Amino acid sequence: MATTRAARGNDRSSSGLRSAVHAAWPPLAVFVVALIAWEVGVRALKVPAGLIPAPSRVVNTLANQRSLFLENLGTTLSEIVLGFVLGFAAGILIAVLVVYSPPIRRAIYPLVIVTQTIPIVALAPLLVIILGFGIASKVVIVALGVFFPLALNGIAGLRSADREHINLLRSFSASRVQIFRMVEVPAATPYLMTGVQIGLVYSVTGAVVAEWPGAESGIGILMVTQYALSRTDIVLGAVVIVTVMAMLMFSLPRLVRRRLVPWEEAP
Amino acid sequence: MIAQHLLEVRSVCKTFGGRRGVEALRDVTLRVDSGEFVSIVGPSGCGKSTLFNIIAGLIEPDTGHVSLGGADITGTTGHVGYMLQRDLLLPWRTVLDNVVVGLDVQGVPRSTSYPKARDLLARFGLARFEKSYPSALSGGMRQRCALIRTILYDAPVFLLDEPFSALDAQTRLLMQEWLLDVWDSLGKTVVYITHDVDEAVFLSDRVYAMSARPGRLIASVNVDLHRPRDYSARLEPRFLELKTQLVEIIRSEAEKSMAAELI
Repeated sequence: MATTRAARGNDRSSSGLRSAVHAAWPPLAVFVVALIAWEVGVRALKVPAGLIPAPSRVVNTLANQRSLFLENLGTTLSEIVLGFVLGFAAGILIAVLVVYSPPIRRAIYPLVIVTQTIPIVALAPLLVIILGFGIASKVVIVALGVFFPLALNGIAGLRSADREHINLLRSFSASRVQIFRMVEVPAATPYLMTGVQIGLVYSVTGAVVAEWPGAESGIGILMVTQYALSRTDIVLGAVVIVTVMAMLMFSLPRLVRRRLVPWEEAP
Repeated sequence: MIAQHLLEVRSVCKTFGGRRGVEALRDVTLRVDSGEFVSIVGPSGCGKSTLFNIIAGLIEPDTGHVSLGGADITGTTGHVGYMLQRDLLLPWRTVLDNVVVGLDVQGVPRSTSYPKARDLLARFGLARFEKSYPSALSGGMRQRCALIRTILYDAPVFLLDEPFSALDAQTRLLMQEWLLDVWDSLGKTVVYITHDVDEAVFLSDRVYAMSARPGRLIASVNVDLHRPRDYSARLEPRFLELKTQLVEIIRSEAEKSMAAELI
């Protein structure tokens, strides 16, 4: 029976791959057709490269200006990583405090909800004035944006722990810390994974947009300066890089999810 | 008191939610001897589970005491093994890690707890599934895991609250016989809560009947069927007599309380 179970498992994953390919080819085909139409259109109508560059030109620029893109990408990536770590830590801390301390819950939880409505990227110019052109203001923007989904999902996750699971542990005379570690944290993990996923995707856009009002380097400021020079090929190249980064950030947690939440049925 | 009962519940009362609250238990007194299998039957909502939680120490009674082997354990946990209708297996732990969870809480090292757990899993036909997550198991297998978890915790008294009521009828009958086997080989004391008179008579040495809310114990019936029992015990005339006796006690009590509600 164990073997049939395993076999069924393999079956499911291979049919999962097949259905993934099955689902992926129609949008891919449309994408490729659109690229070809764009390429042909730009060449046939002799559109100036400064107005709309052909896809082939964007690809060329990405290859030729590799070092320019990589240098700026490095800055943006460090903003993302630092901001994410800060926002993650703060989000978890607030979630734990809100769930386990009634006075803090009463004082902070409504504020957490209200501050979620602040358009964070709109604070970017102000933060550049306060913190300067370095990466500090961008790290803060990313951290703020990562903080909310993590705090909210952390609160929901810790609260999702089953009352009767907690009672079972209590019947074994478990301490508060043991209940936290053995029931509440594992129950919260799937929620946190969702929070991480939302936070990571946000952090890409957050970092890029936070550079717009002013930065020393980064993909976002590259877009702004090259836009001023009408280098639309570089601007579009930067857009491609940001898109690929966001897609990676979105699929990264999905890849580790099976490892971190192995008890969860595949979605 | 000279007679030493293993578990004693004395004059326990419990009302939930203040002045206009719900009176769940009124003056409940029961005694269970060492090695005895005692059931408590009553209609749903009669406060059986409240009594259960008070014995487990999860709820404090308003008045009255719970004692185990002569020591007062009122409102303290860790003295009884505890099993509910829901198996309460932790979805993030494998079968093996689930059955040792009580020992984990006590700080027993895995090098000690795993061999014991593997023994029991093998004995109960679950060895193949030790690395599976609970979601891969059937309801009957999950309840067997829950009982193994209770056995490994090794408390002197097992409290079982309708552990098989969510299973289908065939599986339930098999699990009842299996439970009797386990009880027979372990010599544990069992307090079994159920609304099923048939199940109570089949399993128990003694059956307490409980009234509708507020819960009171209204009768104690000795089950003098031979041991060990298997399915054939249900076919004996004495089984039917005992069952009829209990059903009549519970029915007449239910009629009284319905009449009282109509006034």
